Amino acid sequence: MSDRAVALIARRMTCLLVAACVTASPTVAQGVSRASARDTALTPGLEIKRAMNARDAGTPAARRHERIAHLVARWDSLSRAADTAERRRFTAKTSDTVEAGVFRIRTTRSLRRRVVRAALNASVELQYSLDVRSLAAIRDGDVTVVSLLDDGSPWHRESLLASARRDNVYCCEIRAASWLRHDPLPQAMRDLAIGLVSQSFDGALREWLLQSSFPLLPRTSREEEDARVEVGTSESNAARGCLAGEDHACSVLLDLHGHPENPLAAWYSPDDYRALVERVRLAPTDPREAPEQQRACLAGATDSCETLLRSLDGRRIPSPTLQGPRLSLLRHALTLGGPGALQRLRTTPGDIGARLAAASRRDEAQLIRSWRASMTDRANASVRPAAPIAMASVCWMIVVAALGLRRTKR
Amino acid sequence: MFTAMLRAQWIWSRAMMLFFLGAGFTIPLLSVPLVSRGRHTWMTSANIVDLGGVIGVAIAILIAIAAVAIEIQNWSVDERGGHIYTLSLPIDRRRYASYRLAGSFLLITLVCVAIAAGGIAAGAILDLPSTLRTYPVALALRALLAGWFVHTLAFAFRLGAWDRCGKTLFAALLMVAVALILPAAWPGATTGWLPMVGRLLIAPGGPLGILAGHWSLIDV
Repeated sequence: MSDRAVALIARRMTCLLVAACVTASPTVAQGVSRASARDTALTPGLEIKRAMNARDAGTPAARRHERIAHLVARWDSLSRAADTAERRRFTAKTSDTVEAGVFRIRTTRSLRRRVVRAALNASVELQYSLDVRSLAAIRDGDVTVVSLLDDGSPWHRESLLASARRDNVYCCEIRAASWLRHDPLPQAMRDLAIGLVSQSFDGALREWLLQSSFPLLPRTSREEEDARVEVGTSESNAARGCLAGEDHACSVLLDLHGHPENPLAAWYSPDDYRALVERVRLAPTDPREAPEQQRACLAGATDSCETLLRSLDGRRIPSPTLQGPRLSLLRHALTLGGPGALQRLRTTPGDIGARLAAASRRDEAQLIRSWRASMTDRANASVRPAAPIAMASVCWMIVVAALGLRRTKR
Repeated sequence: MFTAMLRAQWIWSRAMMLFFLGAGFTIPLLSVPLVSRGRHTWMTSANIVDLGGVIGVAIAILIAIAAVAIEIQNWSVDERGGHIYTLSLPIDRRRYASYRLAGSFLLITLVCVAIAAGGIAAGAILDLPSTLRTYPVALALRALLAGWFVHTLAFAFRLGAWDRCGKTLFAALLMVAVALILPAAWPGATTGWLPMVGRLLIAPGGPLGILAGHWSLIDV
């Protein structure tokens, strides 16, 4: 049987199974959605056995459940066959394994040359940012690059899929699209490497970074700008204190010593409660009065804001900032620390503040002060055109005006 | 001679200039009612920064339009009069063009002074959160450089190439500029010669760098 036929049968069986479940399952009769019924039925084992035992053998319902069990077993075996066939097809397609720079990549013959070039470029860019464990993480990542679309038109519309697996689990997947012959592969390879290194970090650091990618490469000025604006616009007492020069406020704002026990008091003042309530998403487990209190707070009743926020669990209070300022601080610490900073960040025991301080070879207060100074410097330089830029602009004006006047010689 | 030409230029374009001066002063002040109305209800600090960005972009558009309009107005008056005024002046054409350019720069400076005055007035009235500030002078300075540059571009083009190639060349140049800048701003476009050239154009020291910078009245 061909691979395609196996896959087709597997799909067909899934449809049959779903249809059988929809007609047989008592949960469906009670009005539960088709999707949830399918999920229930596709879980072979306990659910179905329990359902079968609950009824007398030989009744129509029991026969239908038997049929479901049979279909589930058949579906499982066909799925396995389809997966194997797909994997075989994919392996045959990506038969070329290339080793370029820090990467080992499986790809197709047609992409081989481009993949090597992109991998080498990415390796050169990343070489000074990687420690031994990062290198190992990239090396051990099972990286695959395949082309999903190449329309061959003059516009050269192309779509690529670069993915990586660690311990047989997909960790990163990057879909890169391009047109007009922009090669999206170098960026995809960089992102993939960053994803793999991010996965190689310990849980505490990943949690502190809110599961975002680790900033291996120098961040762009736009990203730094966004981080600065994020701190400046967060309606938080801690953020205001941080910008005003309080080191402790920065530590609290960025969770450098762990999540505060009472985040409402640590991060926010009563003036911020209204803006905070706007950001809070209520859950079914919240007190019954919560929606009413939220409405009253947004209508201007400040007492309701405080009552609502105090009734929520501490973990439900949103952090004043997202990952932007944290990534900015981490990048700053790694830049200050120079060679070996990443290694020190990994190996130093203690909380995030201590690890960042070790990575930067400074004490925590110095690191925070230096980071804050870099932020406030950027604030002034952001809107006002810097002197070199103004000079360059004047020079360009002189050049253009001279070119215009030159034409009038005749 | 320069004063006489500047006076003539002002007379030709004073109605238009009054509009640009009024707009330059008013646009920054538009933030005042918006912020004062929304500050204690729906408007967060992030919204206020966004509003500052919108005002900055509006100022950028205003100054670009003003720079091109002053150029078009001056040459149109000349052309309507069959260049009699130009030919009657006892100076060569290059000097005439330089005086005309310098006069236009002064008119653009006036618009920027109006922008700075409007921004300073807005900053004095606005009740901003403690982490936010207004940057009226910085915005006016950026507008001044951008206005001068756009005007110089239009001036050089009009003086040097309009008679020969005219609108066709203008359209072609516009298309080339768009084709170069768009790929540079396209997310993920990092390689290839086209985005690279585009990025050079809009890089901080590049010819269009002053236009591509951060235009904002209110920031952190």
